Amino acid sequence: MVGVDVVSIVKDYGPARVLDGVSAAFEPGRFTSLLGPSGSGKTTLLRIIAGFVTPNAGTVSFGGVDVTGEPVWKRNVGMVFQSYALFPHMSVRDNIRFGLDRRGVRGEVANREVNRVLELVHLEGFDQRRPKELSGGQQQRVALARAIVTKPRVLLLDEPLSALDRRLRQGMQVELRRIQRESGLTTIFVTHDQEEALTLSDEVAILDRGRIVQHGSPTDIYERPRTRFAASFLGDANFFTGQVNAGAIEIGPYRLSTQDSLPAQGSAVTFAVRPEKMNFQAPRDGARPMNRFGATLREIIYAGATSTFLLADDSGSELKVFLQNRDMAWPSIGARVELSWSPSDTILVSE
Amino acid sequence: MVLVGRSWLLAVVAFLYLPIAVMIAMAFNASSLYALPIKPSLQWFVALAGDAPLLTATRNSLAIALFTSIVATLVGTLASIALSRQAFRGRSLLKALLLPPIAIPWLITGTAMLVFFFWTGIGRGLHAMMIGHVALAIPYVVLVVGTGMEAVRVDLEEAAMSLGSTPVHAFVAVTMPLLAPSIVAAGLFAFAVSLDQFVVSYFLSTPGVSTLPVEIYSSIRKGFTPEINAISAIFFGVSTLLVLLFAQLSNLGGNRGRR
Ligand SMILES: Nc1ncnc2c1ncn2[C@@H]1O[C@H](COP(=O)(O)OP(=O)(O)O)[C@@H](O)[C@H]1O
Ligand SMILES: [Mg+2]
Repeated sequence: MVGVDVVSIVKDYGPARVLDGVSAAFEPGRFTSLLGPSGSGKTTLLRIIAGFVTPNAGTVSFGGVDVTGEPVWKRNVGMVFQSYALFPHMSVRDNIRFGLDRRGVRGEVANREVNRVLELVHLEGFDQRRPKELSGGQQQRVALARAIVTKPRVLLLDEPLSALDRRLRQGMQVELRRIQRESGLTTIFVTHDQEEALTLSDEVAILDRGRIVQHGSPTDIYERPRTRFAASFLGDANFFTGQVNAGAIEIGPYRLSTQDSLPAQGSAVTFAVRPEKMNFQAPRDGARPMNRFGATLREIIYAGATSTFLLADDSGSELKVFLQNRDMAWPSIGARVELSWSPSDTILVSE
Repeated sequence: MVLVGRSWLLAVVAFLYLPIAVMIAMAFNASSLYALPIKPSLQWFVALAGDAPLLTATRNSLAIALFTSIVATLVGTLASIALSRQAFRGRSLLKALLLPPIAIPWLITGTAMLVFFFWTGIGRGLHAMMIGHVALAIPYVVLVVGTGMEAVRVDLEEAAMSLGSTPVHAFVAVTMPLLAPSIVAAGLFAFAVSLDQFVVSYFLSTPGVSTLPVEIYSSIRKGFTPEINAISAIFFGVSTLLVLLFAQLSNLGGNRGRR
């Protein structure tokens, strides 16, 4: 179990800079998601770590040893592809045995190892099947078994669940996490699905146009996004822009406070508030000072356990509020309401 | 609707096969004047065995087809692999240049070869026909193997490399087995292209050295005998077998690669 470090990775394809100085530390045994929109460079970064792609600049090291110049077949990585890439002309057993064979592990020893991982992915008894005789979820698990049987230094997965339907996907997420915990592998998981990243990961690194804009625990990133992009890509957010005045943020007639440190008097600042942190009235105790902001209710989207409220502020921008359907005493559509939220949920973000 | 569809199809098939069916039937008819009813006989097939020029031409045809099949498959397969796996300058131009020869009339290709071979001193004869047929067959091989190559996804080789295979081992262990049906199919196709070739062979043959189609053509000019029906029937049988094998294999290759 080793950690993976990438330092100042730059990758150009022709005139296009795909990765622009990416540095990140992937701690031993941790599950890190690389999250970002399509085209942000996730696959390229993963393929650089695997050794399929050579960066223009920067280094990749495994356990502190520089492997930038090593080709993929010498790096001892486990890779799961989006398409699974199972060898169609080999049985499940032969697929899994392939990597062992390359390492000179053969015969009974190899068979025992194959049986061990088949058990781990709950596919005992499927070893003589051809890949095409398996369901998508089962193929997925064979691909995983094949990648981990060699006890690789790092497990790399490129959107492995995106070909599965929603229900199967959720089941596989749980499985994947269990298998990762049991095998203790340092894991880097590429996804563009924010929910998947939040539920699966020890850590999330957010990529935006070839840069890692934030790297931290899921709660850290969700509760304290540092940029507008991070706040809007991971979950929903309401954005406000105002001016710093005497330790608070002024937007028209409203004065809003935050626990983040504010820039100089008179600067323009943007902050984000998560929709579920807002409410229509201040808590009854009234002890804590709350931020208040006027808006007009435009629409209510009822979804059983929760409802989403769409509002417009005085300048016409849309705001969103999520509430549990506990007492259902909602204002009516078109009503003027006052939103309130805590200063600690008022998060300064950079543009 | 279904009935119209089926009778139409039957008519088309009859149109395709009727002349051949008549030819095959007459090959087994004792009468040399196409007299009916057919009196079954193998005499024309027996007569073939004594026809020395026809036998020599058959041997030539088979030798040329075998040579063409092996060489064109080897060269064409390597070209296909380079085209689909290697990135280099001018690749798309080269790829585009490999296919038009299929559409160029053989009369033109044959004339060009005749002139070129004369000019370079290669001349005519068995060796010239071998070279000519290889050139004719390569584009077909590139087409067939190239299609097979598309079906073998690049990520299969990458998966093998992530598991410790060098690029060469990945190719041998993963791509080759998946590509094998396409390669065999291409070989059969090249064989058939060579065997059925007339125009180019006619141009490149010399009085002593010809191929079966050329020999059939010249004996028709000398005067038709039912022997021609017999040899043509055999020829038809072999060609059909090759095409059926080809269809079987190329289908197999497609299904396997797709997953
Ligand atoms: N081999 C390549 N040649 C040229 N451009 C590439 C290549 N691979 C990726 N790119 C470009 O790099 C950018 C990032 O791609 P990628 O890493 O696949 O993003 P992601 O996985 O986040 O969707 C895209 O704009 C893509 O078009
Ligand atoms: Mg990608």
